[in-house]
Formats: sequence, structure tokens, C-alpha cells
Amino acid sequence: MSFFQDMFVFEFLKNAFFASILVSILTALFSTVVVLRKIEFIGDGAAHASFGGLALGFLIGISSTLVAAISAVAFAITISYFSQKRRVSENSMIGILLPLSMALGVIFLSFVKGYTPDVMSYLFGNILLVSKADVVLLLILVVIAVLFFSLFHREIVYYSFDEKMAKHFGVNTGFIHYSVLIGISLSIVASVKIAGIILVTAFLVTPAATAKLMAKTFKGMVTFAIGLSIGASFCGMILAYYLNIPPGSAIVVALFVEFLVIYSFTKSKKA
Amino acid sequence: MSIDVILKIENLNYNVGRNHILQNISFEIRRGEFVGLIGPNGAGKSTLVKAIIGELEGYQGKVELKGQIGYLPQQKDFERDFPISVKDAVAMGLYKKKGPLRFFNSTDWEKVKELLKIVGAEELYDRRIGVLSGGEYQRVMLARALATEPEILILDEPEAGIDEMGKASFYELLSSLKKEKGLTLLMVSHDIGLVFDACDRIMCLNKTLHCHKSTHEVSPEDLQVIFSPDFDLLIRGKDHLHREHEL
Repeated sequence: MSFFQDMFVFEFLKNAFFASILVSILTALFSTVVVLRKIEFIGDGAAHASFGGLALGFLIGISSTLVAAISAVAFAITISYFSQKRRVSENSMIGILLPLSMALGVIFLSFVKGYTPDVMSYLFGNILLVSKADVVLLLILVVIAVLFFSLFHREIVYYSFDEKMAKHFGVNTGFIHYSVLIGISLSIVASVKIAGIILVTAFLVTPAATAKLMAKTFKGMVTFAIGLSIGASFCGMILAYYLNIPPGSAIVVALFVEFLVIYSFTKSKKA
Repeated sequence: MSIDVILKIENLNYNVGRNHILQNISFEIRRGEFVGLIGPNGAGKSTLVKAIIGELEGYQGKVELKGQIGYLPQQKDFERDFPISVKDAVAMGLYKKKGPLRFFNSTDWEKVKELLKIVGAEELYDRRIGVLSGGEYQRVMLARALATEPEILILDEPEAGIDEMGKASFYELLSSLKKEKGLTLLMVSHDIGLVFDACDRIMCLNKTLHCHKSTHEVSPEDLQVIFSPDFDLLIRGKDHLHREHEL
């Protein structure tokens, strides 16, 4: 049987396929701001913070996704706050908070009585965990993100290009800044089951970093990033199916191959 | 504030902890003047500019501005591969007038073309910001500052990152904006020679305002007060220093 025939037979495969495409669109959108603003560290930190949140959710018995979302948003805002105050460097704060959230996650999980979820599934992703509800949640987030990027396209460009002058010219940079931070954090939490906490950073960096090599405008960069991300997800899922390897990892490798090819091509074109 | 005064500062003081950044600054700038603000590093020039453009909090004193302000910030190292075109960068200056959630129309793009024409950079309209030279970039940023239709333009070290030829033509452009559009200009600069060539009046700042005079009235002593003991080196330049060492 082929991948697409199996998709109609196995519900989990259908969910995983659609979820991976939606994750690609969602993370690709925010990856453009992450790369242009050079805030890759916030994505990485929020991903690790979501682990502590997931574990706390399991421990107290409420929606782990909700707790993970709250902790990821709190982490991103805390880092952003410290980076603006400059009393402690961003890197130091990440060095302090990132292992703390992982450590808390492990402590919380050690207190969970009875069934303990497989940690590896959250670290590296597991398509068996993806439910129909996850696909619906991702779809809602994609719609909100697309609306945000369409309506505030100019503001996002100005904020990314020169935040200080954007503010001078009347852009509500605070609104854009915190919307982006919340968007990144929620994208991470929604992508964890597909990509995993460790690998989700690749989704938030590689598509835009590759797109930036080719794009002349922000719109072009967003379009390229989404295209590359969907392409990598599609190839990664099919490779994972035929080679029996974890899809999250396969997608990350596909993203890297795209980067390598385009980097080589654009380099030779410039020379 | 008399009708021809566009900017009036009264008893401006600004401290950070126990450090006095600006002390008892008072001056007026009249419409149509081209004023150069000079002073050594750490003199408080950029802080004063921040107070004027409304980006400084916690100062004492009064800043009165009569008219729309335009601002050209210091040229920082911008990311060369940022995917933004010249027209989009200039259109940023139209944002305040346009407001949020509204897209630019053909009239706005015509306005952008017009602004680029004023600064002699209309051929750059579709170019990517990253391919511009220092001088071209500064002209584009000047077009962006003019988009707000300012009556007074504040320039913070506009010569930074521009070669000698570019500097001369940029100052020429500023002088023509003053003559043709009646624009008032306040320019912070380290380039003493060009400031003396281009400006009508000079303000010498080093925490306090040591002089505010017509350019031809500024004496070497005025400059020595703010730049001492490096004033001779500043005026005579490195070549002179090398010659002294050789002797």
C-alpha cells in the first residue's frame, strides 16, 4: 500500500500528515520574524520551557497543552523583558531559565503517579500522539497567524527592520512585539507532538533562514519560507513512512537539505 | 515663544544617577536656520536630540516645539540582506499619516517617488536597501524623514558611514532643502569643517551649552573649551600629528 492509501485507512497517519502541513505553515510564518529579528534564542528557550509546562500539566491533571502554552509564553516574555532591561544578558537568562524548566519538567514527571508519559515522545515528537483535536487547534492557530501577518504586514516589516524608528513613525511596536512572542510560543506548543521540543527550533529557524537567501521582499520571504517548510514536511513524512524513521527528524533533515541546496545555489549566483 | 522661533529649550537638565548628562540647557532655534550641534563624545548631543524628538523621559525643564519634526537617526550598521526595498523603507515615513490597518495606494507610491526625487535618489526606487552605498542609504533615510512633511529636521551625525565626496553632496542637499523648502535644520556632527561650511549657527555642547553663535562668530577658544585638550589634534588632523612626530 502507498502512503496516501494508508492515510485513508489509518486515522493517525491522516492526522499526522495534516498536522505536519499546518505546523509547517504556522512555524514558517513566525520563523521570518525570528530570523529577521535574530531572536532564535527565544524560540529555543520557549520550546524547552514548554517541557516544564507539559510535565506540570501531567502532574496536576489538567490539560498539559494549556499549561505548556502558558509556560512557553511566560518564558518568552520574561526573556524579552530581561533583554530590554540589560542588567542580565539574554544569553545568561536563557542559560539560567532553560535548564531550570527542563529540570522542573523532570521533577514534575518523577512525582506523577501511575502512567508516566514517554519523555522521548515530547523531546523528539511522536505522530501517534497527534489527535484530531490537535489538527483543529493547529488549523485555528494557522488562520489567526495568517490574519495577523496579512493585516499587520507593514508593521511587522518596520518592527523587524528598525524597531526604534518604527516606534518613532507611530507603529505600535509593543503590540507587534508581544503578539509575535505569543505567536512563537503557541506555535511551539502546537508543534511539539510533530516536531518535539528539541527539534522544533529547526522549524522556527531553517525555513526563513533559507528563504532569506533568495527573497528580495518580506512578502517573498514569507512565501518562500512557507513553500520550503511545506515541501520539507511533505518529503519528510513520505520518507518517514517508507524508511520507517521518526517523521519529525525526517522533516528537519529535509529542511536542512533545502538550506544546503539553496545556500550553494545562491552563493554561486552571487560569485 | 515668538512666532519665528520653532524650537525653544528652557533649563533642560538630565541626570543618570549622580551623572549630569545635560545641565541648564537653554536655547532657541528660529525658522529657516541651519544649526550645527558640536561637542566631544559623551557631551550629551544624542541625549539632547532624544529630548527634542520626545524620546527622553525623566528630564527637568521645558522643550517647546512649534511644528512638525523630522528625524534622521545615526546610521547604524544595518543588515545588508534584510529583504526590504527602498520604496518600502521610505513609505515607513508615511505610516503615521496613513495609520494602522490601511494599505498604501498609488498616491502614496507617487509620494514616495516624489520624496526620492527631492533627495536625488529616484533611480533607487525599486532597489534593495542592502545594495546601497553609505551616501545612497543616507539619502533614502532623509527621504523617509521628509515623508512626515517636517518644518524642522533633526539630523544625528548624518555623515557617519559616508565617504568624503558623499558627505559634501549630502551637505549640499541639506543646504538646498533649507533654501528651497525653508526647512529648519539642527544637525549633530563630528565633522567640524563641514559644519562650519554648511551651518548658519553653531552650538557647542559639553554637558552645558558653551556657545550658541553665528558660525563666523565662533572662536577657536569656544571650541577649545568643549574639546580641550584634543582640540588642536581635531582641527589640524592626523597628517599634522604625523609630521610633528617625524620632526
